Amino acid sequence: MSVGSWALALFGAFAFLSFVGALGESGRPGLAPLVVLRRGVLGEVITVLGGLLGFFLAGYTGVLLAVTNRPIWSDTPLLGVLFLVSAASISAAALILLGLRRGIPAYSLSWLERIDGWLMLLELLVLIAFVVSLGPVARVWLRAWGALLVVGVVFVGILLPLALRWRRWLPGRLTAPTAALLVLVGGFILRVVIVLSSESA
Amino acid sequence: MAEPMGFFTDTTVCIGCKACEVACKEWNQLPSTNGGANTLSGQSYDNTRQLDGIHWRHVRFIEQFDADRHDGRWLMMSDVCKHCAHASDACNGCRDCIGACPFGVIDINPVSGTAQKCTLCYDRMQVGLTPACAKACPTESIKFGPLEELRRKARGRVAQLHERGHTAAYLYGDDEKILGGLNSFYLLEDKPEVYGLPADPKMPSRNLFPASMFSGLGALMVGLVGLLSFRQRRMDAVAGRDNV
Repeated sequence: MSVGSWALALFGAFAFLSFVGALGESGRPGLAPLVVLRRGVLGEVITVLGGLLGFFLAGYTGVLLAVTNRPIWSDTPLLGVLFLVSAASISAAALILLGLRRGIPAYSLSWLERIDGWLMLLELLVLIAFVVSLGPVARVWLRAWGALLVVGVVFVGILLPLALRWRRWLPGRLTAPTAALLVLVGGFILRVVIVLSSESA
Repeated sequence: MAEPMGFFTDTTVCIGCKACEVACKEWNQLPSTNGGANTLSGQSYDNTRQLDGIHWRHVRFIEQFDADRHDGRWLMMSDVCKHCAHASDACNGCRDCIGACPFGVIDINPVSGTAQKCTLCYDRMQVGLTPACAKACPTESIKFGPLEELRRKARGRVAQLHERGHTAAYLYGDDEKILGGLNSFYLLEDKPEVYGLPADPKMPSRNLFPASMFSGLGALMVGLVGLLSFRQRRMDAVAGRDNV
């Protein structure tokens, strides 16, 4: 399973190259030539390869946990895909929060919210499939951990942000950051529940 | 290639003296307490309780008594790493083995800070000695030797017990039905679960292929969502609906 270590190292290298390229794009004096790492054929190659490695890493942690003999983790093959879809959703939420700090254009914000909405719906479907695939083992969640999963992940992390964006209950400026923050909280609780409930099972 | 060696533990002659545990700890210089904490189980004479980083042998006491303790029996079994035939022997210190072990044998030694388990007394084997636990066992409940020879002896012992009316006796892990074979196998007289052994242990790698495939499918779906939304964004930009 050392393939994950190699993927992490390579992802780090590509992420660093993209960071250096972004410095070039920032317009600081003397750094302009570095923009080649973000644009043109080389920039596209770095972006695509780094993105593919990012996908690999997002699912790898779940697969790594599934390849054990721990309760819950090893009782389903869907942990990797759940972590991957959740990671994509909370990445979009993190981009929304970071973008708001830097004055993101309205069309980019609505685009990120739309993609995050679809990803949250996908996450909800995968989460349901995940619980069903556990079979009788899912009974360990008929306690506090299960309540935390339903309230913290399904309600706070998925349904509430979707409802906030759809119904716009909050004042305009507050909707986007509140929903994004709730998605991040839900993603964190999802990992806490899955990691710690295996210990108590 | 050298003949594979292993343990055969005949639980019917184990008297629970724990000489194997003591011999193992002495030879391998394992600490007697868990990081300085000397704790008692409080509910059994079995204060070792489990195999872990500092207990590479564990004599399990199973107390089977009725409610008024008028009728019952003790079962005793010296447990050890099963030395799975198809286990990986490459250690890079990642500790993944602790969660992956189908028998829950491996744990952290608080003194060394590393994951440790029975080594079959590899250093003793190098000079032709049997492992310390087998050497110390006064009833020869623990036998060490070439696996084929041990299996022959074990099957003979089961037949002998059956002849004497102990028809519940059977071997656990002597053939390929359990994880392709165990190099440490047992003669038991009750279900494996009674001895704290899994009835159907599973290889951790069983999930690797399906979990990878589902993750790949998830990546495709996430990628598709991304591509579709990119397309939508471009259409929005072209339509000029968002002040682009």
